[in-house]
This record gives sequence, C-alpha cells and structure tokens, in this order.
Amino acid sequence: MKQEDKLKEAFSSVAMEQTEQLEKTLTYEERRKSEALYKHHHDTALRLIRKQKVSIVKWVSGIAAVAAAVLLIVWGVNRPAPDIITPATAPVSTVVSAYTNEPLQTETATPAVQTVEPTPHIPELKAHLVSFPEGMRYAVYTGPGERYERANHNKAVVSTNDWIEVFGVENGFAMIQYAITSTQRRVGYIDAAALPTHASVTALEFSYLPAVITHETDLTDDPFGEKTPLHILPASTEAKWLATLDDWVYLEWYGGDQPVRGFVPAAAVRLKSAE
Amino acid sequence: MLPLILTTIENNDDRALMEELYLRYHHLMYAQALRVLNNSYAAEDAVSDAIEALIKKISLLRNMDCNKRKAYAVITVRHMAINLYRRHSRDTVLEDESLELIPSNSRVEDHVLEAAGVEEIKEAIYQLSENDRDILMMRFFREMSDAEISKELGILPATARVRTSRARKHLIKLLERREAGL
Repeated sequence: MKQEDKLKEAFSSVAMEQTEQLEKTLTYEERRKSEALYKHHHDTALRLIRKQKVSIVKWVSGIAAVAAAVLLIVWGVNRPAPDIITPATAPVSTVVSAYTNEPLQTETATPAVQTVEPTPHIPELKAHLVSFPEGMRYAVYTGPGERYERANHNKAVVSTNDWIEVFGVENGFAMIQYAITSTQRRVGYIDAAALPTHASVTALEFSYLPAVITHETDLTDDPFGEKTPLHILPASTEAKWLATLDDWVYLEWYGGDQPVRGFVPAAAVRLKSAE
Repeated sequence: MLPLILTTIENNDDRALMEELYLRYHHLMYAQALRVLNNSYAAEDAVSDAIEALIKKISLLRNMDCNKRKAYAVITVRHMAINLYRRHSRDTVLEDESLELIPSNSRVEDHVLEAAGVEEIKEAIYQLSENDRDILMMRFFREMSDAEISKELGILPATARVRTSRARKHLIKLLERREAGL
C-alpha cells in the first residue's frame, strides 16, 4: 500500500471513530437544540415559499387584469353601434296610479339575507418537551385508547431515554411526539400514567368536525419527518377534523378495522360544512 | 426543511445528495459545532459554513460510503467551528509560528511509514496534538490542497504547507518512537 493511501485510510478510520463516539455521547440537550435549528430552517423556508406564492399570484392577476382591460378596449372600439337600445330590466315591480299614470310605489328587489354561519373552532396543536424518567418503554397507539390502531405493524413503542414532546391528555392517554431516527418521528398516544408527576399537561380539546378528503392523500403520523403513510385515503373519504398543526390537519378516520388518527396536508381536506 | 443555501445547487443530483446528507446528519453536525463553540448561534454559523464547504466537495462525497460521508460532514463542521472559535477569540498563536521547516530525512520518513501498519498510524494520530491532527485530517481525510487549507484557515499557502509538513513530521516521530519501543 502506498504511504499516502495508508495515511488516508488511517485518518479516515480515526474520523469515523470520532464520529461514532460523538453519536454515542449525543446528549438530550444537543438533540433538542439541533431540532430547534432544523425547525428554524423549516419555518424560514416556508415563509419564503409563501411569499413567493403570494407574489406569483399578484403577478398573474396583474397580467390578467391588464389583458382584460386591453380586450375590453379593443372590443369597445370595434363593436358595431346597436340598432335598438333596450333598457336594462331591473328586478322591480311598479304600481301605476290610475289617475296620473305616475308610478306610485316602487318595490326594489331586496338582496337575499346572507346567513353567516359561525366559524367553527378548530384548535391548533401545540406541544412542549417533558422529561420522562429514563429507561421506560411504552406502547404507542395512534389514538387515545387501545382500540385505536397501533403504528409500526402493531409494534410502535417509545423509549423514555430520548426526547418526548407532549401535546396534552385525552381519555387517560397522552398525545406525544418522539423521534424514531434522526429523520423519522411519530405522533401517537401513550398511557397518561407514564407522565412524570411534575409535568403540567393540559387536556386536549378537539373539534370533531365532519371533513372530507378532496384528493387522494397519505394519512401519516410523521408530518415533520419522513411522512411515512399509515393509510392512503382516497378522494371523498369522510373523517373527523380534530385540529390543525401548521399546514397539516389532524384527522380521525374509521375506515379500517380500527379507528386511527393521523395527519393529512391541509390542501387535501375540507370541512363538510364548507360545501 | 433545508437551509436555503442548498437551493442554490443547480444540479439536481448534487442537490439531492446534499439534502440527504443534511437531513441525515444535521443533528450530529450541530452537536459537534456546539461542543466546540458552546454557543447556539455560532454553532449554526459553523454548520452553514460546513455545508458551503461540503458543497465544494460534492464529487468526493458522491464516491464515499455513508459512514465515511457522515464522518466527513462531522469533521468538516468541527474544523469550521474551530475556525470560528479562533476568529472570535482572536487566537493568533497559530499565526505567529515560524515558517521554518523542521529538517527532514525523507528516506527515514519513508521507511517509518512503510514499516507502520494502518492501526499503528491510527494510534499515533490519537497521540498528536489537536492542531496537528486537524491539519492532517484536512489533508488526508478531507483531501484538501494547500490552497484550500490556507483559504479555510485564512493563512498563506506557504504557512499551510509548513504546518502540514510539520504535523506530518510529528506523526512520523511518534511512529519512530513506537518502532524503537519507547
């Protein structure tokens, strides 16, 4: 082996050993700060994408307005003068006096009364980090109870050795988010008895509004990671709209053997009352 | 979501590779930077600098297996973090060093390196000072030229060359001692 190659191999091996050591000794705090940085990049990029979308819409609508104005002008210049000018018919009824032939009273059609339905209250999910006693493992369900589907082929488990975020508690189960790998996370439920006694966790309040899937989409329990699908929901699937989380809608769906909760992109679902 | 700098990569394959690298290892890179700098904002800067440096080495990264690629990302961010730390603390110790080369006997060096196995070299690498190890890591692991090293460290190419050569001699000295059973 050449000297240069030997040195390269040795340094490469040292670099890999140092990295392995770093991986093994990664602390909870380092992981948490890294997640925060990742989220910061995520939010910045989303803001930029939104800005871009708005400017594209403005640009397109500006062009459309100018084109429409030009068309109207061209049409106005070229159209032939009408032979008979017919007055516009207004939706009015006129009562004429038998003596003076003057209109006595004019009833103008009144616009239909718009009934504004109250905007349904849709809660926004929020989570915070909770320190669990280390060394415990809990079964994770997609909903608050053992009757709900359990992810990972009925084997989903969370270890309390890593970070866990808690959204709240419902029906004796705590809604949590945790990391499976560096790129995969899961939102699910564990027995609320697992929560440390000092943890202040609020009750979950969901809207349970009827919703319908507008186009085929994945239902996932990992909206911020790899978005691994739990199920594929075809268009027209009916579900319950529970809450929102950024650009995701949290749904409960009864289509399979067991009920399941998960996230779909907000663009793929609408409230049924909005028909 | 990814740092915006990745969106500037024009080639789709390159961008996909860098995106995957960032998604897989950003937590390790950040943790490594945080350990050197002990400051979240500075660590973020170090990660950004590292991504910029990694983009320049895409062709090299493409031919690595995933473990080596991970190590490459971590070592790169470590070097960036050390650079940032030095810049902030105005650590000029390294800048003041003499440019004189240690006299060398290339035949002896060749013999020592030929005789040593990879494991022995590894053990000697661990005994090197951090400065020596880092500069040799730049040369032999990150496969950087003198010009690239000098640019990254903000020093003259001649200084980079002297420093690399000196670190290499320190390594050989350690191997000689091992060979002599000292």
